[in-house]
Amino acid sequence: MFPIEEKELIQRARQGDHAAFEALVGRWQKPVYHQALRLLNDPEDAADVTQEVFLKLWRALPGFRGESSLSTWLYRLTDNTAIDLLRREKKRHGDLSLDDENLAVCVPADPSCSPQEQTERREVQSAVADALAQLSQEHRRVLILRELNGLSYEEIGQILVLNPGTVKSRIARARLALAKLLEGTFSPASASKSTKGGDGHES
Amino acid sequence: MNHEQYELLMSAALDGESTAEERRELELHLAVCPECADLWKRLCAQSAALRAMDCQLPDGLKERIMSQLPARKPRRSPWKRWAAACACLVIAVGAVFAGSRIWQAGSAAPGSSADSPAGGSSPQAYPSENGWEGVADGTLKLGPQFDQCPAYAFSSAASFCYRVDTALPDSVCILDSTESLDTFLSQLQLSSSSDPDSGEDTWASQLSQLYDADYFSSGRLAAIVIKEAAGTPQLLDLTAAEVQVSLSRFPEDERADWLILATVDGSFSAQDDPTLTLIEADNS
Repeated sequence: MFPIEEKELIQRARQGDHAAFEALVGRWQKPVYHQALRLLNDPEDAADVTQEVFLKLWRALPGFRGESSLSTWLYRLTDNTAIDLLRREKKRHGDLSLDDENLAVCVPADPSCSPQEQTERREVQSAVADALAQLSQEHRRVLILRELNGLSYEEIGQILVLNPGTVKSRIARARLALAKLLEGTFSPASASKSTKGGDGHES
Repeated sequence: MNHEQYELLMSAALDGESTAEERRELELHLAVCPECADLWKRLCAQSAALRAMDCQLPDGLKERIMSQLPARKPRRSPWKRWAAACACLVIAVGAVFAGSRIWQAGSAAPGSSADSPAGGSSPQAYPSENGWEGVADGTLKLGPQFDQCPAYAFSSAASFCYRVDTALPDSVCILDSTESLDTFLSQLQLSSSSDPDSGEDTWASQLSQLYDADYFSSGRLAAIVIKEAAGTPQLLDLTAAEVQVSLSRFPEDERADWLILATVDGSFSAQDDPTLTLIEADNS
């Protein structure tokens, strides 16, 4: 969606145009849902939060001055709403049902990859998703805002009420914590490169 | 540099937040340190995997979202009318507030007293349109921070926070009757009657309906007008455990950012230097 088009949609939605708002929902529901899902590790809760976020957006649009981008605003709303829910329901991180199909990661079919590579990729993605779910809430939040939502240190700082320097070190620590959980997933030993001799065989 | 510093550098480099010199220093180190080189590879792969993460959107989510929107149009912000605050208003209000009783919120968090209605009200107890947010449980609780939203509310047993765009000095005053509430609202140029354009209730008229004679027969309101302090935009952020506003510190010509109405009990006492402590509700 081009930024100009979005500004127009916002303008119309502000005045109560449901169709324009629906277009905004269509555009943003997935990023919002995904952010909520990775924060809460529960698809139902994530759907509830997504609903709540867009309701808040609908109500707050008349006051939207367009000084910050809609995406930053939405991500902040989602973070706040999800954390609020966590606080209210006192869900512990790591309370994750690994059997839940909906939490399985999607790996889009890639015709250039062999089925084996596809499987490996899915396993890696799955391991990463599980590890992310096990991180502390603070680490998970900051990593999601950075890696999933692509926000800058400054934008993240505004949402989490931290200065960019603190954001920088917290992201680093979050990555290291994640790497610790993922030891062995990306280790060169699991790759084909081996100095032990023999050609690299697919395991 | 020790390994910890290189790790920080790696993370910054992943985000493009390192200087050219820092990157060079990192590259030099990676060339001679197999441990860090391994970590770097893993962090790169990990980051790539995170960025590639995807999810399955539940069916019908958009329909769910659209169906819950209020049928009527969102309210045009009533505050736009007062966006250009006039100096005479400041003087008028200042004069009125000077004449009001000024109270301090004591160590007891407003609304947490025993004679507040027991059991927090559910959000549905409060008007849910026009940017109101009901958040309740008996102590003053702060709502999410929407800096783009001109109006939202949080509530404890009977308190609201609503952003105003009017130049007002910081103040706290006690309202104990429908008349005093009307007077106070009119100072903010808020009409208590319905919007003549749409026939819909203004926020002020909804307040008047909520705080009616019945309410005032047993309750009192503290009307608290505060400003966002410079340098602390997180003043009313939900994540803040405690917010302290020292009312006497703000110059009179700054705009007020918050109007809070809180149910108060007799524990309020007058002080020369009024301060207000808003404490996040304890969820345990």
